[in-house]
Amino acid sequence: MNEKGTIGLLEEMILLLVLKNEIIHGAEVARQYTNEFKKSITLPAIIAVLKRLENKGFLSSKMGEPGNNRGGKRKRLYQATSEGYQVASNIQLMRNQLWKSIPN
Amino acid sequence: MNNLPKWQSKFIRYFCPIEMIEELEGDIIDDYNWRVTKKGRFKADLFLFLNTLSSLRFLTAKLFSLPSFNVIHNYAKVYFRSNKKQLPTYFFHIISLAVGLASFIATLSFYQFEYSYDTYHPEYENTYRLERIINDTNIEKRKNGCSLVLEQYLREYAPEIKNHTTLLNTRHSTHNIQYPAGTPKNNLTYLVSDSQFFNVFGIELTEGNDKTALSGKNSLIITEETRKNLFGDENGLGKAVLINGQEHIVSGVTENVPKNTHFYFDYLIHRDLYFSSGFWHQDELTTVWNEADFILYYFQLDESASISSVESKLNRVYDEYANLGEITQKYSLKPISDIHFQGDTEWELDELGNKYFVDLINILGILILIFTAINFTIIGIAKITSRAKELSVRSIIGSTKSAVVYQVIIENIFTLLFSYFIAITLIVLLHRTVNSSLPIHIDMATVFSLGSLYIQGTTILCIAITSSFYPLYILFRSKALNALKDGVKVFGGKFNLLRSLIILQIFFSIGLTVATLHFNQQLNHLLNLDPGFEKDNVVYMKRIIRGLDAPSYESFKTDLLGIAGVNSVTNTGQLPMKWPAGNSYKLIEQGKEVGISSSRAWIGYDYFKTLDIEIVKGREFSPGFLSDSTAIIINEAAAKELGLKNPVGMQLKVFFRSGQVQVNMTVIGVVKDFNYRSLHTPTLPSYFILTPNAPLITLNLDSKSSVKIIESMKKSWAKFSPEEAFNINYLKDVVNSQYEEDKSYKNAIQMLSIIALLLASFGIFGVSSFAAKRREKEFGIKKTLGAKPYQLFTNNIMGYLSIVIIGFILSIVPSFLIIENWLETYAYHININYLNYGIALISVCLIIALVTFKSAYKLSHIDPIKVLRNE
Repeated sequence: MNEKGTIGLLEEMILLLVLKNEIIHGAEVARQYTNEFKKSITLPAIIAVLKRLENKGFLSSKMGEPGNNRGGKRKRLYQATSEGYQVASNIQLMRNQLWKSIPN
Repeated sequence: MNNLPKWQSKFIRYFCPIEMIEELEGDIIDDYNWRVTKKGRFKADLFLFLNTLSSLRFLTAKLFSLPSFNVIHNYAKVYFRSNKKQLPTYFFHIISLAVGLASFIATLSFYQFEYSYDTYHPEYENTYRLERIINDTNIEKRKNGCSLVLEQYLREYAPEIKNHTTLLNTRHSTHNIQYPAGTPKNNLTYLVSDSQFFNVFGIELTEGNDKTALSGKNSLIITEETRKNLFGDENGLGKAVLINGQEHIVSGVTENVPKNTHFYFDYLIHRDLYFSSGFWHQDELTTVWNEADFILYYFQLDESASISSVESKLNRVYDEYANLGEITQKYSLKPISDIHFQGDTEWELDELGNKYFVDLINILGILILIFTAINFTIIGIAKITSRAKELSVRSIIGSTKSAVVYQVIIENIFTLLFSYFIAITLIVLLHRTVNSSLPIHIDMATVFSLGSLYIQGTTILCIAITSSFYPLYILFRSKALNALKDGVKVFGGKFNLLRSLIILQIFFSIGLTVATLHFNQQLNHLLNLDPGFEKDNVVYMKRIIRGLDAPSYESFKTDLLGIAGVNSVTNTGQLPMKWPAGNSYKLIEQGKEVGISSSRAWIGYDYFKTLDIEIVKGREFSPGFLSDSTAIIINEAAAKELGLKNPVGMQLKVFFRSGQVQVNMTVIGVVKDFNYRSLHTPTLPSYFILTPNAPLITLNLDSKSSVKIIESMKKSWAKFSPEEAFNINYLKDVVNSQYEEDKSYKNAIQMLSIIALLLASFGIFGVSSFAAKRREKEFGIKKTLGAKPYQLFTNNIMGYLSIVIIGFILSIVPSFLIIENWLETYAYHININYLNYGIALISVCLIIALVTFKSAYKLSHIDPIKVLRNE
């Protein structure tokens, strides 16, 4: 697998969150991450991961409308690409196969 | 909240790429508002702070997005592109630069290391060693040591002395040290001190307590290296070790002794142990004043104390308590950082440095750096002319002059940095070889020390900037449009720097060649000079513990003389060439007040016969004369200085025990002067007195000394001193070892000179091939006008040779003065050999002809049609 295709655990989780929501911005990812995993994470960490996923081609992004509760600043909205979906489902598949082969 | 607090907003703007700021700020505010409602204001504030701080992770992205980064990136791209065209030449440049820089860095680090002796300790500036200046009727002697008697008065008389300690000079003896589980070690060096050692010297303990570690007879301190040597990976503290069979417990482990100290030890013992072993008695040393020169005192003074006041206080102690009649003595304090270069060669704890040599090496290193810089400038000029079109195009399409300047300087820095890294790699790879084969010690810690790195960095920057000046000047002198059409003009203008640089290189090269030739000849001169005694057929054997007593020596001697091939046997206290420099005693003609200073040696019968030294007047010691125990033999120099025409039969007053005992002795002979010290110094007055049991048994053998003689000697030795191993040494080796140092200095200087010469010839090679390109058209025209190739060839070569002549003429006077000055430091020296100037001139001419040959040949065989087709 080349470097472009590799994906880390945090990246995978965030990719899954994006897939779940279809379209989402950074602060919302942080919120959902906290809710799902009961763990705090700083925003720059989230955004750095989003950027990395975008560079790898698993996400695409566009600027959204300015929101009310964000000081009039625009959101950047992220959306998973089909490659992103493929990678996430591949990992899931591999994981399931491996899990089946583990003796109880 | 609708806006971020000011500093957080600034922080984010400062550290994040522009295109991310809006998103990040918005998300952070969003997140904050959510947290306020969910978790309260305090936690939200805290998280806001974390979020802001965490945005530092975008710093690298920010750096890459900066415009100045792009500029540098662009410069680098242009740089690599322009060098890719001439890769071999480029590598050649880089390597030659690297060699120059490596030599400079190595010599610099050597210089810094040698000058850093004893400065590792934070209080070194307040630490002094005690010296005694003894004035014995007009003869001044310096001694390092002083007996223990002084110690008891220090606190009362000189309270400025914060701490003091003693080191005992025992460099000639060794112990047998063993960890019961390991093998015995007997090549370890030990030092004897007292409990204050760690207070005065900045050496730190890695195990144990520095207050109590060295507290008494049974304590033993070892260094980390010794710990590894004895116990491997185990801790040292508390282990029992046998020293000469006696058990000692390790009470402390120190860091390894820094290499730049004037002493060295593998382990440290308390002086009580040393005194209890019997040779010296502590009681004796606490009452006498002038014995025991081997005890060295070290004082750490208060910061405010003045040295002269401490000195005068110590002198008061001496005046009050010591009573030594006519001998006066003054104490003086020597800063410990001065010991390495100015110590007493006879009684130092470790090898001393040679300031003259260290400075010389440093000068050579700087010279090499100058050559490197000159070469670099020459390369720069050649480069800039070949790229004139590119740079002109840039200035026509509107780039400013400063942009071009920056580009040239930054490209130079790139080149220098590359060569710098190669230079450092060279040093790392080669420093062991250099350290073991040359007297230049490259200490890697010094190379990478802050001070050294600072000098290295500024040097590189200076070279980069200065070597850019002239090329840029050339570039800006010509109009951009002309440059596009014709290229830039390098030659012409009132001042031709290129030519001056070459002359400078020739100037130094000639000087170096002449100096190296003289150095070689001087050394050969010393090695071949007749020292005034027989050295080839003389061997000696050494009794380490003590000499044989008189009767057994006599029968040993008879035994040895019985061996066929042994011509004569004697014994002596000092070998010729090995007399220590501090060996200096008073000698007065009886009835006179003022005497001379003279060396002295204790010798046995047949000394002069064995060493084949001529006796000018009188006779040498002989067993037939009982009165010889109060007889004295002097050398010609002594007779001359005493003003005695016919000294045989006269009485001379001789002094022993630092002048406390005087004996009248009758002169029975005068010997021809021979060199009892190295040939660096002339033969000074000396006298000889008889001793029955000196430890060095010296033999004169037949010139074909065979294995058989040695075998018989060995048998005889085993009979008379069974407890000591037989060892035989050749006087020849002793004599030659006097010049080992000079030889190794010669090698180092030669090596650096060769590097300098190579760099110089490389520079001239660069100039010649560059000039050849510039002058193609000129030679093409000359050729069409009918010049023959050989005329053009000689014409071209002659041009360079005339430069050599100018450099040669300029270098004659300064090199003459410097070499003459240096030769004066030897007592037996050659005169300046004018032939060497001839050799230097011819060899430099040959080298120049060689390196310019290719370009001259190419030019003289140029095809006019090809070079002139555009005109």
